[in-house]
This record gives sequence, structure tokens and C-alpha cells, in this order.
Amino acid sequence: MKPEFVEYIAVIGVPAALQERIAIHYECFQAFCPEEIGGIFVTDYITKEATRIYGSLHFVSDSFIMEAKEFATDDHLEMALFERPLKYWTLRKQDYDLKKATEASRIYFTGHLTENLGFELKGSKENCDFLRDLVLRYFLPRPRR
Amino acid sequence: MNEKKPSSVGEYRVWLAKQHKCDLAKAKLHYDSVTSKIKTGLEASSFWRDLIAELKEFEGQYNVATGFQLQMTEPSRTILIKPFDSVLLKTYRKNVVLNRKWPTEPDGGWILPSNWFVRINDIARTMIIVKYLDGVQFLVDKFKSFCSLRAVECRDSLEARTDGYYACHVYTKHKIEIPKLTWDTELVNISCEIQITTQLQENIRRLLHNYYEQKRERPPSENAGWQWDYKSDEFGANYLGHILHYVEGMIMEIREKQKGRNL
Repeated sequence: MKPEFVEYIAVIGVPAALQERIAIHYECFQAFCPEEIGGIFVTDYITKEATRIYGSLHFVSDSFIMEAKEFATDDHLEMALFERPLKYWTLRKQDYDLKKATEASRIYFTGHLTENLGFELKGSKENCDFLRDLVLRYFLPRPRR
Repeated sequence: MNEKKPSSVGEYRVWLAKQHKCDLAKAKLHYDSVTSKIKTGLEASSFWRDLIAELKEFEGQYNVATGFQLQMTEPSRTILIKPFDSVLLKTYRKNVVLNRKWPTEPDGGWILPSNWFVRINDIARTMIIVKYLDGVQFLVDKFKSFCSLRAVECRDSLEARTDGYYACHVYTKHKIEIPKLTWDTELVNISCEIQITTQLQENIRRLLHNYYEQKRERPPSENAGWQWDYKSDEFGANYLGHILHYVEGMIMEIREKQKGRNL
């Protein structure tokens, strides 16, 4: 797996057993995706007992978004073509200035691909910064020179 | 001006978006992530694991009491989740088709994405198929004792419908922490439906599954009067269910008589 991916999942505290599962899913998607996979995101949320729960695993390339739902236990993979910039997206955030995340920061992003197809990415704490970067890099309009 | 009643699921989707500002694409994403949590939560619970183990004990107890086998197959260890489209269809029926108070909300209020995990009682479900008719009540009684010992809320409903559907639905309630639409979590009371039915009833359900799905989308008036329309699909399908239930009762009688003779 790419060093930056390994670093990312370590920073957001993914346990070793789940890291192995991420590596397995990455290999699967590498086999299916005709482009280089440049982005990774693990959705997470915090429970009432302040436990971090990891939900879905996403990979992104220039034209494809890939998801391994319940990646820890299942082999349920999905892949969709998308065009940049996304025609419609929504973002909600809490205690996050889009500059530097804190312990209390939360972010929720949804991207609409077709009328009935979309994806959602949610992040907590430092994961908010990674989601911000992913959205800027892959889903929003390219910066004008 | 009277609000136009949605006459199809397609129109209902539009109505939900307009009247209740429901983003169904988002609702489906949330539904998938929540039901995934419900499924794994229930399957990993001590309640579920103990119940699976206890079913083997029930099998033994029934065998000792009757000399016959209780279940058709090994009980499934997995919880089934109602597909999103089926949930939407169910809310269409409750909010529109069967809502006598239309255009105002039905009794209990509108069923919407914000509350459907609590309002719909069969999002999580499983089925147990028994060989004989008396196995249904036998299992229901065992489940009620099992739940009572574990302080799990449980209620049962013996279904005997005019359309020939016979089964018992046992509903257990479980507090599960589910992810909210945006972030963090909330604690909700989720209902798990355990359908207990007989071998013959399960066969007919499988054969007529598509017919039942289509019937649910139609208003009740279109399904009325089938009892005299011997050419209709409903006539054959519904009476087959009743006949099979009667046959199962006859099987029980023969079994009991044989037992009496053997004593």
C-alpha cells in the first residue's frame, strides 16, 4: 500500500487488524481500477462512550470513487464513475473552520453522482482535515491558474 | 384544493421530497450505514448468540414431548435486513394507501426517514420454519420465556389473514446505538421480527413472493372482492394459503391420534 495511505490510517488510529483489511481491499480495487488510486478515506464517527467507530473505506482516483462497505468484516465493494467537479454536493460541519481540526471537529460530505446514486463521507477529529483535502483534490472544480 | 394522493411509489417519492423535504438519495445512504450497524450489533449480541444456542435445546425439548422434529433446517445465524425499497413501499402503504386520514397524517404520525428505524418493526428480521403446526406456538412460548429471563421486551402476533397468510411474528426490542445522519450517534429502540411459520406456508410464500410484492403496491380497493372472482390471481393464491393451513391442522390431528394409539 502507498506510504501516504499507511501514514493516514495510522494518524486516524486504525487498529492493526483493520489496517490489514484496508490493505486487502486496496489490492482488490487496484485490480479493478484502470487509473492510479490517489486518495483514501475511512469514514468514522464517535460514540457516546467516546469510542471511535470506523465505517466505510473509500478510495478515489481521478474518475472513480470506490467503497468497501463495512470493510472490517465484509467484502462488499462498490465502484462508480464520476466527473469533476461534482454537479451537486453538500457539506455540514461542526466546530471546524476548514483550516485545522480539533477534538470536537466533525464533518459530513455527500456527493451526488446521479439522481439515485451518491456517496457520503463523514469524519471526526483530525479526519476532518483529510476529508477537506480529499474533497478539494477530487470533487471540487480545479483551481484556475 | 385537495392534495393529490400519490398513486404510485414514483409519485410518492416526489411527494416525500416536496411535502417533507426528504432527500431519498441521502436517506438511502444513511439507511445502509444504520442497518449495517443494526445487523452486526444484533448478530454480535449475547441475546442473539444465546438464542441460537437455545434453539437446539428447544429442538430437544420438542422431540422429547412429541417424538418429532421441530425445525425444518438448522436455524440461520444471520439477521436479514429489509431492503430500502421495501421500507419505502411500506411507508407508502402506511402514509398513503392505508391512511384513512389523508391528506393529514395517519395515526402515530408520518413515517419518515427521521423516525422509520423506530416506527417500522421488521427492518431487522429472521425466519424460523417448523415442520408441524404446533411447533409455532411451542416456539412462541419458549421465546417469551427466553426474553423474560433476559428482560428483553417481547410481544407476539399470531397472523391469520384473509389472504391466506398464516405465521406468528415475534417482536423483540433492542437498544442499539446507531450513527446519526451527519455525525455522532443516538440510542434507539430497534425492533427485530422473528417470523415463525410452517414448512408448507413457507413454500407457498416463496412461490407467490412476486405476487405479494405487487399486491402491496396496489390500493386495498383493487384487491377487494377477490373471494368471488375465481379467475383472479388472488382467488387461487389466497385460498391455497387457507387450504394449506387446514391441511396442516389435519396432519396434526393424525399425528395426535397416532400418538394416542401408541400409548
